[in-house]
Amino acid sequence: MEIIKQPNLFSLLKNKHILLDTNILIDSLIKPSVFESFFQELRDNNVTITSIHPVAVEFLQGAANKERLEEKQEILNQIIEAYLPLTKDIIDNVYKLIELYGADGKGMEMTDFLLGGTLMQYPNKLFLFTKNTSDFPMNIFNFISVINFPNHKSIQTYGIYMYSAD
Amino acid sequence: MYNLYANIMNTLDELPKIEKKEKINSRKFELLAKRVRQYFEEEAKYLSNQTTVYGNNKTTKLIFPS
Repeated sequence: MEIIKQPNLFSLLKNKHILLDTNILIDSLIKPSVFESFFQELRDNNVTITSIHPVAVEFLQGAANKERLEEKQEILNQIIEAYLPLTKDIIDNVYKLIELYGADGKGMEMTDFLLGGTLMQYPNKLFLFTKNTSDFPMNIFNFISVINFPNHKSIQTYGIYMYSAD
Repeated sequence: MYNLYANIMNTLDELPKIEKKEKINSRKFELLAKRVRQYFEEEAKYLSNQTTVYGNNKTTKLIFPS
């Protein structure tokens, strides 16, 4: 089984930056060969794979001992090429998002606000890759593409989002 | 361990360019992924035992899709 994607996905993302959510990192453990090929294909198309530290924290937390922590960290090192800093501007964007989401933001995780705030910082340049297709509404973010991964019992769906300043 | 706070006050106007793309080590990635997946499952089990004690459903984020 392999990832099913829009045929022009890589031409859309070529020379751009992709921002990974925690759920992508976790799901990459289910079928590592498939996800590894996908990540490699992104790199081959000069897409830079990034994330933010809160995502790394979500992935690393709960490791029972140092050895396990280091192994989790090595997975991150294999996939993520750069961590984007959480700047003051991004925190300001998060406060804007709280206002824009209104009541819909009540149950949202802090990491999702920070991912959204980071997307807003780099309009049209940074693309979020996430399984969380309910917390990035299309009245705020631009839905770019859908990626499906058929597992043996179900089909996992992932979204690619961008923020446009227009 | 990552220095989680080192970059917090920095600014970054342009996204970082990685000129020299390294190949992912497929074999290493697959072996590591298999072990780390097992850790996540054990952590979920640990949390589910904690849930019994504290009555707080903390397990949802760690459950793998079927």
